[in-house]
Amino acid sequence: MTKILIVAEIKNGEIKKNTLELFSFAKSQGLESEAVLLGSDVSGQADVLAGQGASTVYIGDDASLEIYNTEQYTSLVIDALQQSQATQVWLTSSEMGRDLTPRVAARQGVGALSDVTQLEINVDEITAFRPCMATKAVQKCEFSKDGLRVISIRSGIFSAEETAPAPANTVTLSIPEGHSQLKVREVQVEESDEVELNEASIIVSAGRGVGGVEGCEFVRPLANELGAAFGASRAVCDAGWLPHKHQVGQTGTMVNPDFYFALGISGAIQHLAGMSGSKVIVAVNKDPDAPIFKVADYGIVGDLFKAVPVLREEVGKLKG
Amino acid sequence: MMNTRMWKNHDLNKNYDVVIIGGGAHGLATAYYLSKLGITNVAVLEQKFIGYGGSGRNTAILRSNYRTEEGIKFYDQSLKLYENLAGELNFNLMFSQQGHFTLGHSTAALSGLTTRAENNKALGINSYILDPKEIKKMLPEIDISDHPRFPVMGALYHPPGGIIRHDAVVWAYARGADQAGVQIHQLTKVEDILIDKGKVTGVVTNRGTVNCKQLISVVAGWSSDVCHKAGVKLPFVTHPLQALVTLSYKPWLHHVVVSGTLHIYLSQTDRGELVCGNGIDTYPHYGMRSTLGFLESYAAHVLELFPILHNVAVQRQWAGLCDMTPDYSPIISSIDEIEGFYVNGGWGTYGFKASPASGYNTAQMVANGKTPEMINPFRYNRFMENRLVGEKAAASVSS
Amino acid sequence: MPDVALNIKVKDGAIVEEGLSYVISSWDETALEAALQITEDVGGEVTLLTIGPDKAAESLRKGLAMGAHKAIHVKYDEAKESDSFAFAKILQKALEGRNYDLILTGKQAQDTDAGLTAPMLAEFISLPQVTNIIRFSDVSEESITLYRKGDHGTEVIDMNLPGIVTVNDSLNEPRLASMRGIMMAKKKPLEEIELDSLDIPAEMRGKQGSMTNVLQFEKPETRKEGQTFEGDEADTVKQAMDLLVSESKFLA
Repeated sequence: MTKILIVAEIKNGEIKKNTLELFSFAKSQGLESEAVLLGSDVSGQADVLAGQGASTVYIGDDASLEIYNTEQYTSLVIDALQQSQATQVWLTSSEMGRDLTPRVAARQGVGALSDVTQLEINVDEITAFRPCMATKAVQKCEFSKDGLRVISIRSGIFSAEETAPAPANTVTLSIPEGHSQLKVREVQVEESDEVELNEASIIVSAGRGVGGVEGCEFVRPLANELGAAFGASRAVCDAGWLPHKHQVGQTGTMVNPDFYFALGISGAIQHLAGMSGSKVIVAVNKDPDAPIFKVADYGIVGDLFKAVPVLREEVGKLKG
Repeated sequence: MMNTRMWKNHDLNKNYDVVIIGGGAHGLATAYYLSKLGITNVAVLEQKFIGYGGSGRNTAILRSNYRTEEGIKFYDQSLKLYENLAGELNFNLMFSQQGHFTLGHSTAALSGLTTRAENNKALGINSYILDPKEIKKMLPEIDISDHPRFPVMGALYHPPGGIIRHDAVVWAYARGADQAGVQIHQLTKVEDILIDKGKVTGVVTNRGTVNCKQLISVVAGWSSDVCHKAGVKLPFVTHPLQALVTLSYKPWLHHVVVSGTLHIYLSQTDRGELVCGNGIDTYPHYGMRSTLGFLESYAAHVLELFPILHNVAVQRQWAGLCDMTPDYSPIISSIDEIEGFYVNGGWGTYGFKASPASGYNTAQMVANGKTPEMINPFRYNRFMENRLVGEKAAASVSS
Repeated sequence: MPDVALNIKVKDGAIVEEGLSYVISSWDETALEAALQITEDVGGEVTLLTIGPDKAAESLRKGLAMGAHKAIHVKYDEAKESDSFAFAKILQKALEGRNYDLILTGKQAQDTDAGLTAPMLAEFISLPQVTNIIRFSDVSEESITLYRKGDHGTEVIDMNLPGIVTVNDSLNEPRLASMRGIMMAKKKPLEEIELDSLDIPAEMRGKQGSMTNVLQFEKPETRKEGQTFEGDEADTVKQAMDLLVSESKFLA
């Protein structure tokens, strides 16, 4: 019988929206789901997962799991999998998911499908669609052999349903040793109270056109006022105007928000590949021939330094 | 300024007096010079965008020191038209007459160059022989020692030769023609040529059928293909020609350098990039694919001449198409079997420098219904009558 | 693999071959640049390894022209039939009996965009992996410090060698080949290995050795044409915002 083991992701002690999306999708398909919940001081979140429909929550809660590391996380997912007898493992295609998906699959001796954006499930027969070639084509894929299905799914594809927490049926996993050859020293977190790119329903992004650090700070209040994540193009991050975690695009974070504001972004191919799945795109750029206007629903040809104050004013009115 | 267009877009009319197939430098120059003769109901049909073909893929070297009388006179006219073109079209073409070296690496090559120098002198072209020491004075970085496999033994030096900004030439002719009323139609591919009772009546395009009385094929690498549509068989063979450009460096090379023996040529642009090319690929092909083989052979040969270039980085390479003829000379000709059909092609590797004279004389021919003396040697029937032009020695690695 | 900066056309469930230009995957170029920097810094040599048809040799020679010391070409005409799992298995075979301190590759291939092969290989040969690095430092014979772009910031990881690293293109700007490099590349060793000599049975190859299968390629959904506003920003932004609210239910 089909059973899905979903690898939950945590940020600031809470379950991330992209994880909730996977549970909501499983539920909508009438599939039984279980969860594996890993981190430091995370056990309290098991009830949230139970509320989302996880019939069992496998918990690995230990200080050593504070920062993601491939080896311990792989072992724990495999341990949960063996206890659960799940037929499928679902992850999100976050940086953690991208690292973990192939390793879990390989340890089980099976293949994987990564960064899936559409999923058709008939028991354990799966048809998955995934963008490739910088989103210029889409692969329609299947698993060609029997066995465990390991899939990573892009965030923002399914909608997350808000549910009340419920008492969880939990299983505590024993904490394995990490890889003797690897030592995770620290995670350099910048401004962690910000909305994360792959969590946001609105993203405001700055491009080379902002001209520098001051330009980024000129744009940032618009993101804050909208409750939006603050994104950037590769040029901005490579120049050091903003940390890399803000980078939207194939090299940074692939995003599919409801609204995407591209300010001073010309639209290099890897940026477009990373954000053209957004539902509505608003672009401001001086150059009327900028590629970003090819994907924009509302393209404003003009100076972002003049446009941003008007945008803020309009947003202020809308927010009342 | 944002919305001023250098040329306008138009709907395709039903009727034109003249249709020109090919929106390169030659086609646009032809349109421009036709308009100067008062013929403006003209459409230029370009399958991609203007300058997509050879005009955008050449190394933009201009010179007139050819070998034969026919060639010398023709290219001299072209160079003179180029000299006045920026003023005439009110467009900065960045023409730099910096001087042009053709290096000789053997006594045989030097004797060929000497013949050219004498022929040039007789026809008033500034072109003369330099010995290795004189070359070294003007090109201090060149290796004139006897270490290389092909040591430098002398050169034909041509002071008025130089380089130009190739896109600017295309754009300037396009704007000039557009301002005179010529219609430029991009993304308009000719699919068939309509002929009725031995007369051209029009063309079928991807945007509809167009009637015309006179039709000129000016499509260089695609000449065989277009001629085939008219049922005309001419001795064109299309070969790819590759080129490369390096990163920008401090200006150090102040002249165009060509070596026929090493099959290479190079010049430095105002931006500091070295623009480099060699001979055509040996195989006939319509593909415009760059190859590693070209890069390898170019690198090996250029380092023999200029060892200081060893750390120079290659930024980009590309290829274009060349329609070669058996005598390395063009065909500019009315076609006797089809009234109103003209062919301008066979430009091989030496077409860009010919653009003004090619357009000028083609326009005269079409407007007056008579072949100008200047291009009479380039009529197509020379291949049936066995009187070839014989430019191979001066044009094989030309540019 | 195909240059994805160019137009990619999909027809009848397949990628149209005509007009494709083949290049080294851009992330792999970044990996090569990193490897060259490491050997320039601490010594050692860079070996390129690829599995693919004859034409893949050209990419190896370009890599040699950039500065790699030698190359291994595992010749495999039907490489396109294999999935990441099968590739990782063949790589495992190709690496048997060879010595290396560090395996570097792109975070994903620019044609599949899958990012599966390197971690699968790491698992098969029991090496530690660090994916998606944007910086490295403190390279020694025993270890390297890697800065990984993680979900919540930059993860700083010390990895003992040997290990496998995949790179993000923010890591560096790959160098261009020089004239001398291009010439020298012809003389550098390029080892050609037939798949058969690697003891890879039929059931490990192509679709048989693969766990997943691409049924067909499709065109991505195209966005409907948007509206453009030109003029004074005070007006154009208001117009766009009005439509954003009325048509697209912004902040509704």
